[in-house]
This record gives sequence, C-alpha cells and structure tokens, in this order.
Amino acid sequence: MVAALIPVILAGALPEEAAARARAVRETVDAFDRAVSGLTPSVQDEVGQLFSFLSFAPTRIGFAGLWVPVDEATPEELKAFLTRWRSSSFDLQRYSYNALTQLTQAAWYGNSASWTAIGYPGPPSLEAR
Amino acid sequence: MIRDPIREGLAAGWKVIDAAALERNVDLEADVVVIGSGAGGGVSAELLALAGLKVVILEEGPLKSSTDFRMREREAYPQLYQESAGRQTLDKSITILQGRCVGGSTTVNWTSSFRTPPRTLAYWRDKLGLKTMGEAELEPWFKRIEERLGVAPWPVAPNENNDLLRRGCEKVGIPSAMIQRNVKGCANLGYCGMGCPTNAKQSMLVTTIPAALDRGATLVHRAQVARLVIDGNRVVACEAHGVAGNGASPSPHRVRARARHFILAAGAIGSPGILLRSAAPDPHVTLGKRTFLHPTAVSAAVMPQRVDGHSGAPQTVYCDHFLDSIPLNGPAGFKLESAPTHPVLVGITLPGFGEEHARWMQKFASTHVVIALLRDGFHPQSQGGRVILRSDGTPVLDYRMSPYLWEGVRRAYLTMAEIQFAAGAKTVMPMHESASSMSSWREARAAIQALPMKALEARIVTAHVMGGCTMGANPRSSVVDESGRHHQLANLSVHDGSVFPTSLGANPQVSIYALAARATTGLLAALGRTPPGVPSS
Repeated sequence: MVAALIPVILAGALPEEAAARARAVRETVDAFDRAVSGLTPSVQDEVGQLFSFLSFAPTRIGFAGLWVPVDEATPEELKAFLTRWRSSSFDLQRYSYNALTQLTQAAWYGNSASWTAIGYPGPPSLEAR
Repeated sequence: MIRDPIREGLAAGWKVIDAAALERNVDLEADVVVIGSGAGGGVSAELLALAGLKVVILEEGPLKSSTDFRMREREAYPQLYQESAGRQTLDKSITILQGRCVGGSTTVNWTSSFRTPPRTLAYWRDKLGLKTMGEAELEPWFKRIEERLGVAPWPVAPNENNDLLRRGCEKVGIPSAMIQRNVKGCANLGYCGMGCPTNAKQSMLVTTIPAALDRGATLVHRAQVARLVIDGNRVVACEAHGVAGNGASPSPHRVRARARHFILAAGAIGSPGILLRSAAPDPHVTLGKRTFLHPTAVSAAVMPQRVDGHSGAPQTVYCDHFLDSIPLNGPAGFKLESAPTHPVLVGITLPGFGEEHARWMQKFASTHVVIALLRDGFHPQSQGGRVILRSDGTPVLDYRMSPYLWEGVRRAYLTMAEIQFAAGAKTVMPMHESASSMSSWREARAAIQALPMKALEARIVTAHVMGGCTMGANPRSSVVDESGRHHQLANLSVHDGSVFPTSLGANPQVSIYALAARATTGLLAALGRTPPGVPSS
C-alpha cells in the first residue's frame, strides 16, 4: 500500500528513468518500514491501525473517501484523498496525512539517491582530518 | 584518524554494561544511582565520582561514539533520538526532538550555550518565591560549567544561514548577537545534530561521563528504568530492563541497583514518567504538571544565492529583541535563531506533498531557515502541559497550544518573514499546511494574517522540554526543593530540566549543567563528602 502512495507523495522528486524509479520506490518502502519500526510500540500500533483503515473497504470509503483499494486507485484519486485529509477539519485526518507524507518524505530524503537532484552534496569527508 | 575516546576507554577497562545483551539478572550496589546521562546526569555523575563515591549511571539509549557518527540523518535519528526523532505530544501536533543515547540531548544538540536569562531568574524570585536562584548566586556555577565544557564565544564567521538572520535583523533595525558554543577545536562541519564526528562538541559523552568512568563509575546503557522501589519515604532500589532500538522488546533480564541516594535525570518527560510509574508520593498532585516547551515556529525562504545551511556551525546568531522588548505578562515573546538544513529535516518540515513539495526541495541549497522559540510559563494563558502515562506505561506529554501562544506564532511568522525579505529573500513561506510561497513582504503580511492558527496545520517543533518536577519552597505547588531534593522521598533528587518552574526563554543546556553542579555539590555535603572544587561565591 505504501508503494502505491509513494509516487504520489514524491511526485516530481523520484527519478524519471524506469529502473532507477522502481529502485527508489522499493528503497523508500523499506526505509518507511524501518522508520515505523523505530517508533514507540504504541505509535507503531496507531500507524498499523491507519493502514487497516485504508485496507478495509467500509472504513476506506468512510475515512478516506476512496472507492477503490489504494493499490488500484489512480494517482489523481490518491492525490485527491490526501488533499482532503490535509485540509480536513478532523484532527485524526490531518494527523494521518502528516504521518503518511512525513514518513515517506523522511524515507526518501534520507536516501543518498535523492541528494543530487536537490543540490545537497552529502556529508563532508573526514579523511584529511 | 580521529581518536575515539569512548572506544579507548572501553579498551582500557571501563565498567560498561549493555542491558539489552544481558544473559542473566544483574544486581548492582552503589553510593548513588544516577538515572540518565544527559546534561543533568552527566554533570552529577562526574562530581560524585570525583568525590570518591561509587556511582552507577543508567541510560535508556545506546553507547555510541564518534566512530558511529557518520553524519547521515537516517542513521542518526533512529540511533540517537527518542522515538527516532518522531516523538510527539499526545495530540501529535508538536514534534519533540530529544536525545536518547549516552550523553542524552547534549550528544545531539546544536551547541548553543546561554546562561539562564536574568529576567527568568527574577520572575522565579519575585513571582514564584524561589530564594536561592539569583543571578549572583548562580554566577559561580555558570562560570565553573563554562570552564569545564569550553563554553566560549565562537571566533569563526557565521555560515550564510546564520549571517542572513544577522543581516536581516540589521536591515529591520533590531539587535542580534553571537551565540557562545561548547566546543573545542570545532571543524565547523555543521552536523552537531547527528553526533559530533570529531569530538569537538563538549557534550557529556566526551567530558563528564568519561571522567566518571575513569574514576570507576559503572555505566549501564540501553537500560530503561521500569520503576523505583519505594518503601515509606525512601527509594530502596531501581529496576531496569534492557531495550532494543525503539524501546520495544525488553530483554527478559533485569538490572536492579541499590544505593543510599538516587538522582533522577531522565529529562522532563522521562523523569516524571519514572515517578508516575513508581507511584511515588504526590500528595498535592503536582507531578508531571507544568511541563513547558519552547513551542517553535519555522519560516523558510528562498534566497537568490546559495545558503547551504547544512554546512558550518548550525546556530551562531540569535535575536532576543522579541523577548526583551515584551513584558512577561504581555503577549508571547520569542527568541529568534537559525536552524540547520539537512534533507530529512527540511523534507518533513516543508508543508505539502507531490509536485508542490518537490519544487521547494529543488531550492534546497538556497533555502534559509529562521525559527522562533516561544517562551512558556510566564502568563496565565501559558501554563504548560502535563506528562501522563500511556496504557503501556510509557510517558507522553499532553500539551495544547493556547490562543495566547497561537497569537505568538502568528506574530513570529510575520517577524520572520519581514526579516527574511529584508535579508534579500525572493520568496518566504511559513511552515504551515495552508501557507504558500509569498514573494513580497506586503503579500506575506496579508497572507499570514489570514492563516488559520491550529494544531496539525502549523508545523510546531521543539527541542526543549522543561518542568514536570518543578522546584519550589512550597510542597503544595512543587515536586522538589531548590536543591533538587524530592519533597516526600528523603533520598531522591531530581537534577534535570524537569525542575524548572517555567520555560527558560533560552536553549537550556547551560542552565541544566549549572543547576546539576550546584545540586550535586549540596548533596555531597549532605552525604558527608567534601565536594570537589567548590567555587567561591
């Protein structure tokens, strides 16, 4: 499910070339999972709950306004539901939006594959010191 | 080749136990058990060990050192921070950056060194009745700590990210000044937040903790204190178990440490958390209350030139004009500083997603960041939050921004935008989900006035948690006395940021060091020991 959201959350940031792009998505999924496993267990449970909500049709439709499963939705449909959550008047939806986008953004920008495109040279070398 | 003082110490035979790798239960005896190895615990442990006492230090985080500090966010945050740098308040609206490693937050802070502002001390004296926290009384302790930890003016020119704050303030006509730093031989790399790779930062990890270990202290790391065992008005022992990276999967084996005296220095979320878990006496229901933050608002700008805010000392310029010119009982005051730009930090702080977010990230190298740290605890509508326990026993801070603080956030956004445009910004954007890039100060003023000020829209972050075990003469309104001694438990002291009765209005490390040094010296006298090198006052 994260793999379907990544190209939407990172639109304009992922590499264009197909193989590099596939690899970037894969690595971002892995880093996303690693980040979740680093959260305190009760917060991990909450993230797990969010994904259950998005998997189970009645809650997915009710909570996210998404009529098709996340993995089958078009990028436009996914973008629309994230945008609804972003400006929602419900704290839970704004929180869920923040959690999904920030975990994904952290997973990608922690990866050195993202650095050249943003002009970050990476950490300096300490070898001469 | 950079020397690694921790690996050298381990090779030389320091007594260090990894509680997550225990094969059996461990029982330890000490004169004093210190819980936490950050600013409060580190300073306390060194003084106790120098006085010849047998010391056991328990630390929840791992023992990592310069060899491990590879300046990569994705390694550093899970390794060195509470909840992988994703700790949040109960309502998830404020991200709290706190260290969780040997050295605590001092291992990952940005080295900004400020004494407790005189105005804050005067408030404690005049409004809260503290009798021994005057500027003159604390002066020798500040001096002693500054000498010990190399706190000094920073002789190198600020990086562009900081210099833009200086130039912007100058153009707007408000004063700014240079920040003192606790470094020796700093290479000006800019990666303080990921652990200093050259051991230049004089954190507890490379100063007081090694000194205590050299004197025979025992360090138990990856040890989470489950509870203090309390009998009547005394703490008998402290029980801990090993924890893996995220605080999960506790080891089946436990560490039990007995001592004459216990010092709690687990930070302003951790220390109240341990006392709550231990069902410590709290007859006036003060424990965990009045927990303060410096809620911090963030403003980003795109400059015409490269800024490269990831490179060079992260915080060297500050502006206190909006603290000094506003009375404590007036609207919320704030301190202005810069914040370093690293890809993950910037990525998660910029609002939005997709193309909109990616367009900003493409200007990463030209991005300038100013932060405003709001003071908290001085006004009837700024009374802090409360540390409570989740159902699994872990502590969490329940903290709600009041309309008073939100008004301060809006004013801070306005001020930061004005300064950034004055410094030459092409566009400015407050870090807020409803904000967009604005290309002039006039446009920014109107847009910021119209921003909805609410939780989970404005990105509020903080690295400073204070209070929760507040000090005071009156047990009805405090948890410990001015020397850090618990009001009800005779052999327990609290030596960390949780004793502050308001926020400080400045980055807290020096205040915590000084208070811990003073409290430990007093404790040594009470334990019948001669404190090492008592400063004359």
